Amino acid sequence: MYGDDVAFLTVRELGKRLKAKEISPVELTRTYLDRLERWGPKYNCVVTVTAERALKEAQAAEKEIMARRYRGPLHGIPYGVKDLLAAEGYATTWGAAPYKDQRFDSDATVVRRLRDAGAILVAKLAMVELAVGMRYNQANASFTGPPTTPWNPQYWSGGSSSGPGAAVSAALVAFAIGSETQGSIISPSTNCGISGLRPTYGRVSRHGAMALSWSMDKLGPMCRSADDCGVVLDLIAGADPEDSTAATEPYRYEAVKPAGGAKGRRWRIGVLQDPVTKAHPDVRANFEQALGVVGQYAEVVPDLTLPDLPFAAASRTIIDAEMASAFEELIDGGGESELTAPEDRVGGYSALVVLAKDYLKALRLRRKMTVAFDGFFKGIDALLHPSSATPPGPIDRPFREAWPGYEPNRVLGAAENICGAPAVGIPNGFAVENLPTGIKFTARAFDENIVLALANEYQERTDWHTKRPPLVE
Amino acid sequence: MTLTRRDFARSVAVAAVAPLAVVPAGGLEAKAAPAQQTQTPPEARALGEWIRARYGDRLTANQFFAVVDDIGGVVQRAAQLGQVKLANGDEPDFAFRPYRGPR
Repeated sequence: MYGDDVAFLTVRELGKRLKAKEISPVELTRTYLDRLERWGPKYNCVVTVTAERALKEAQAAEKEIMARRYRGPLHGIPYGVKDLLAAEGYATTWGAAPYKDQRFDSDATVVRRLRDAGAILVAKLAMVELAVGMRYNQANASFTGPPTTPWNPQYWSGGSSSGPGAAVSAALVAFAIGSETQGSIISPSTNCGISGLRPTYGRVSRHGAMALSWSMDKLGPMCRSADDCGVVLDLIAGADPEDSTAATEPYRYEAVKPAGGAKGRRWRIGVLQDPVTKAHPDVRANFEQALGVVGQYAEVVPDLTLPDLPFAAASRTIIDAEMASAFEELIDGGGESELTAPEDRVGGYSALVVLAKDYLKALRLRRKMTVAFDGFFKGIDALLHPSSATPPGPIDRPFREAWPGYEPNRVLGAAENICGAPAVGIPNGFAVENLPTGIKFTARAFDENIVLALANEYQERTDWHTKRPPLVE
Repeated sequence: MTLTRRDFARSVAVAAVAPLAVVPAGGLEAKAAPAQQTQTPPEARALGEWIRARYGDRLTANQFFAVVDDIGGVVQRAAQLGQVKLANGDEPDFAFRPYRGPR
């Protein structure tokens, strides 16, 4: 088995060493399986360790690589998935007690694509029950217990892709797949000090993933660098006959330069008016420092304002209405009462009374919103914003009591999600109690390569993404 | 005064150490109505009645308060959406694709 120095390598570096036969897929898999068993329970970040399947896939990868049949940059690399993705032979619990024995007889498309690329599934990772559908208000909202950040296990890992965040951060997997309806990739990436990419809606097939909101759910990579997110997205993106919303636009991860054609043109990065006035002082200080770094390679365009449209009301109305339909059977059957968080046991009822006319009004407004949000990026390549207004909250307190007095920009979070825009969240420092903070770059739909290029530039100039949490027994 | 989410969180903390009592519909109405009539929008109360008619037998009084409080948010968001004027031709942003299967 390998030590920390290998376990914490990036996907790109692991891929190089595997290809060069410097490390073995079987030993690498055993390394992560051991780490999952050892530290997974400490952070409540694992639902199922898929050891049998993993070792079978690892042996196959080893045989192929030794025979020079190399499949590509993920061949032989162990990874985990948020437990809302189906994997043949294992339970898919959706993080919720009523579904703890649920099984599907085939892999989700994203799992199949990763298998075809030679990646090795080692774990199904913890998540907030039903991916936040029922309005939880505390860290203890998973049947596997409150997931914690490896940077300080008294504090929450974020959600709803909680397990992927913690497992990548502690190097229990080389990378993970999370999902976001609104905030669920960016939040745990921030709280766990890793890099997470929320792709454009439709970029990655949702087939085989739990549906919370059919028109807003996205799947994306969570990794130890933004570059790794691009490497993984390259292999999981693309049209899928099993998902009619999967985009047909081809995707290739590649380095991009600022648009416009003029030689030497710098990136133009927008910043909202008063981006940190309601943020925790440590978040504010780290954001201002990050702005200084971004200013080294981009022109910062300050004082922008988002289009004046009810983004938050519309996104919540859409999520509520779609969630109420997706989980009608659970709610009607009283299954909600088995959920972990007390507020989740009643959180679905109010969504049942969203009127059809209001859902349709939100969908009609959505068209206007996507046009307006796309127009917002005229003159800038991307928007930079703190990825959370506060450090992670403690696991033993309701969210609203964790950091009173500080408020996130809910309008931005809603706008970028209802409009299906891509964003990458990356670490930018630490706050009190050794808790990570982060920034995010958001861009126009299908501009993943722009947000990744900007994040890569930032990570070339800083080393926050290379920090390792102090794992203790 | 309307029961807020925070009040609810507090109440469930208390409830965690005592068995939850399922309140029958009539009893629930007697306890809930005076409190709700002060601040909860009438639409939320009416929609809450629909919830109570269907699921009241499984909700405690505190849980029902929390649901009606949440419905207040649903009503508020609908009002916000209603403030934006749309033209008759502004269509919903969903894509329906007619199905033609293999033969």
